[in-house]
Amino acid sequence: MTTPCRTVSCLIETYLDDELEPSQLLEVEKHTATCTTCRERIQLDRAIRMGVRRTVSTTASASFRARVAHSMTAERWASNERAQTATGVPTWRAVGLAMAATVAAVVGLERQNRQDADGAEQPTHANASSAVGLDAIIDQFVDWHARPLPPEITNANDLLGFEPYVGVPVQPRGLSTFGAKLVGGRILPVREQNCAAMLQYTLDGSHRVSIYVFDPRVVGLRPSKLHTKVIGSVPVYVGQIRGWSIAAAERRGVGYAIASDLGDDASAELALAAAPAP
Amino acid sequence: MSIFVKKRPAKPDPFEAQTLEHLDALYAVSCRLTKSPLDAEDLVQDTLVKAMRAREQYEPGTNLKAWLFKILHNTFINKYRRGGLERVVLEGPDADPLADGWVSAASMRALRDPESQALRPLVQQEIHKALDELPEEFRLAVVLSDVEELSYKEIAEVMGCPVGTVMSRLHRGRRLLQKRLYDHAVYLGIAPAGGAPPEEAGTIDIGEYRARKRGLG
Repeated sequence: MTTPCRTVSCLIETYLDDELEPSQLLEVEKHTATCTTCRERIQLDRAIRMGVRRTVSTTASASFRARVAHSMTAERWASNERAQTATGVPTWRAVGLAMAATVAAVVGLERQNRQDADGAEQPTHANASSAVGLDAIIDQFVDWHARPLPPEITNANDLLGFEPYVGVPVQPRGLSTFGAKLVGGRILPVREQNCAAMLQYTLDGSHRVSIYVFDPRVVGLRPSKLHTKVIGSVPVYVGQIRGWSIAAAERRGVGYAIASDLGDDASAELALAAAPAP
Repeated sequence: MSIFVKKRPAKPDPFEAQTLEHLDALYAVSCRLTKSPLDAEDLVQDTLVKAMRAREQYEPGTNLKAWLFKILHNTFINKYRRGGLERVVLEGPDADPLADGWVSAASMRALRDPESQALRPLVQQEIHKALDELPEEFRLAVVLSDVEELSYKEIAEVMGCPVGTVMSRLHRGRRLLQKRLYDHAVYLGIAPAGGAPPEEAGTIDIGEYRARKRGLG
């Protein structure tokens, strides 16, 4: 006697979930070989599952992936730090540094860097190929300003920890004279394994200003999208990108870029003010 | 300071790398749980930081994805759902006996294979809505099974419930989805209303059905 549809229909779901006992599996397969209705039921169930899969499947954005990878590495470093503290090994600014270092790791992971470890220690000098990518970096600066990631540090004293990763002093002291208040800072990947520091400020409590500090050998200052303005005797590159004002300048061998909702003049002044006091 | 000259790690930590392989899956499930891409990102981020803290508790060789989903589910419950389970829906009677009844082979074919592929986005949209309207525990069970292909046992571990409960949630979730899609198809004129049940079939007793299923688990 063949198994009735009613019995088989109860097994179809488990059959499709691949969780049936071998004997029940045989029962279902034998029945569906001859029963169109049950075959249709199986195909309908399958089609709906495919539909659910298509509907649910999605991909996390690259920036979210980088952020998550960063948090995980930061957590690992923080755990190591806790473990070391517990065993009495002295540490120094390890958390800030850990966070900075994790970005380096993320950059390596994300960009599948082709450089070997030795090469990575040498920043790329500005040349024809680096100038091509400069607009892309300026664009990236604007994106980071428009949609900032949460800061890694909020205390100005911790900025020192960024320096080994940026390769230049990260001390935009002149900004305080404008009444700019530091909200926080983080390290961000720029080209290969190099990093820039991003410092977020508020100005008069109503303007958000992002300041990028970088090694000008990594981000050469020959921007094509921006125009040159001379303030005193110093050239400052200014322009508007997607509604944001951007200004970049080099002072004493350190590169600075500002993204803000201010005007060109104010941005240019801030870019110069960011340079460390002599 | 010696810490400054320390070389950067050349390779990511293996546990982190393996965990990140499941990021899309975690994010997809998280999107369906929270119904908001922003909340979904927060939930995944919290989950992975917790996973890093608890990494010693992960037993190598077991399903890492299932382990991560378990942390995700617990984090979700603690963060987003303090009000307890939706008992009324979980333990109440089935929404509609039709969902467990019979639809004719022709209707099923029509539903599965609409003549026009242009209808597909409509069906996808409908699945999306139907999924979001499912009680949360049904939705998670269905997604973990149909999308992430976890076994009943793994889903039971993720959701912290017996295998029988997983089967019941899956069954009821899928029936609700089917019914919704069937109604939609009728509405669109793809399937005839009130598909004629075959003579021998009759309505299935859901209680008996579950008892049998639990027997399997």
